[in-house]
Amino acid sequence: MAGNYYLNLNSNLTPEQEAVLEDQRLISSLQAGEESAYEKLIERFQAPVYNLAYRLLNDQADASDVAQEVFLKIFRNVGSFRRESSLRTWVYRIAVNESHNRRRWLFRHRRGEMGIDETFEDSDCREKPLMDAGETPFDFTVNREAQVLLEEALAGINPVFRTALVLREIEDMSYEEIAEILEVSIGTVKSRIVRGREALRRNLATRLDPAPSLQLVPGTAK
Amino acid sequence: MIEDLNCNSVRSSLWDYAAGTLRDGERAGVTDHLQTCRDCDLRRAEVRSLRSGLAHLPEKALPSLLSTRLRVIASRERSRMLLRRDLSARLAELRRNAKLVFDNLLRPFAVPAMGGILASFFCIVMIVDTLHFHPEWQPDIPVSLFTGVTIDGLSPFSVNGPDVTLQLTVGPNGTVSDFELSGEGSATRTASPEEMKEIGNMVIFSTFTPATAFGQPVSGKIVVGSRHINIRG
Repeated sequence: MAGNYYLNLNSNLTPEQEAVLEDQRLISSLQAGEESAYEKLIERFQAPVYNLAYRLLNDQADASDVAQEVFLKIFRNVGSFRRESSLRTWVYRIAVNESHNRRRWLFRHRRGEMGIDETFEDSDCREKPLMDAGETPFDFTVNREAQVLLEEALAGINPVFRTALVLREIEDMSYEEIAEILEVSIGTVKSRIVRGREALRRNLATRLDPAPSLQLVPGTAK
Repeated sequence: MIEDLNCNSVRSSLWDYAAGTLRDGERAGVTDHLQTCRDCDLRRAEVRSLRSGLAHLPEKALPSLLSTRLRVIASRERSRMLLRRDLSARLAELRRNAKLVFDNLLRPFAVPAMGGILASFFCIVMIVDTLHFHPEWQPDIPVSLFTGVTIDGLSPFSVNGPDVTLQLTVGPNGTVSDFELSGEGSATRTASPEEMKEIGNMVIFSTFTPATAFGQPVSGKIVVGSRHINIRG
């Protein structure tokens, strides 16, 4: 509400409490229609939402569409946000739900279609890895290859398990937060994460140790 | 208390162990087991590497237009939200929307309609010059005046005898409904039966146009005289 004000009477707040208060202020400002709040929300969540959508969909255009849908829903529904969960959890829940909706839509409408993204060479759209300035070209190449392998392995696992795994291992969320986002029990979350990890490990093992197509058998020369 | 764990339970805890979220006793048990079991230790290294790899996956760069689009969405949604709050602003928005719909409905017709008007004007200008009007003027019938009885045609029968002057009463249908002698000496004079018959023939076989009042035929009177003209020779 526009009239809500939060007085910082206790300066001994923990960082978590500060973050919660900051979230509350941001929500109040959004509900009051303050322009700066909209800007702040975009600045804070555009990259996480886009990255989460990308991890769940493996497509830049789809992730971009989902990010727009997510923010549209946030702006339209922030007035009725009841603050029963944290802002971050709410935003992520919308992002996960929208990504799932998008995947279902893609499954129904895009089966058999061929994309042109693989050959698209727009430098603006290509991913820009965060490079360590001290990294040698060799290290960079090795790391890059490892990242590509890991991403492919991650993309290959069941979306249900992948969602839980991404939220836990990449977004660094607690089981409770993931349970809230996915609207399932903590036990289910743990189970999905364990199965996701196993699937990731298997996928990686398959990629790193493929069955040799040609075997050389040592023998004596005749 | 250090828990005694087997390989399976240790391996299932390795992710939480690497994340540092295990309880103290369980953590100590896992550490203890890892010091004695090389396979589990290798698995721990694998888990640590995987965790680190996942945590350090590069962030995807945002598409160049995404931020702009998000700001456009934000701006639009904000103004919409503010509009919804204020009744007068809401009414103004409704009015604008109605005007827009009206304009959108009419504009497609505006150009063809204007073209039609100009084309018809052009055609009329071209045609009018070639037309020749020959109006046949008819005597106008006055409709806002009183007109008197007029004689259309006199009877071919004349009255023999002395000159007579008659005042005829002509009905709305143009027929004579009454007549009386008038003129000099009419008060003392009486017409003979023969004379009355001749006067009757003259009146019956004459035709009249009745008097009119504001275009409607009404009864009227007219004075008719009969004079004898003697021509010698």
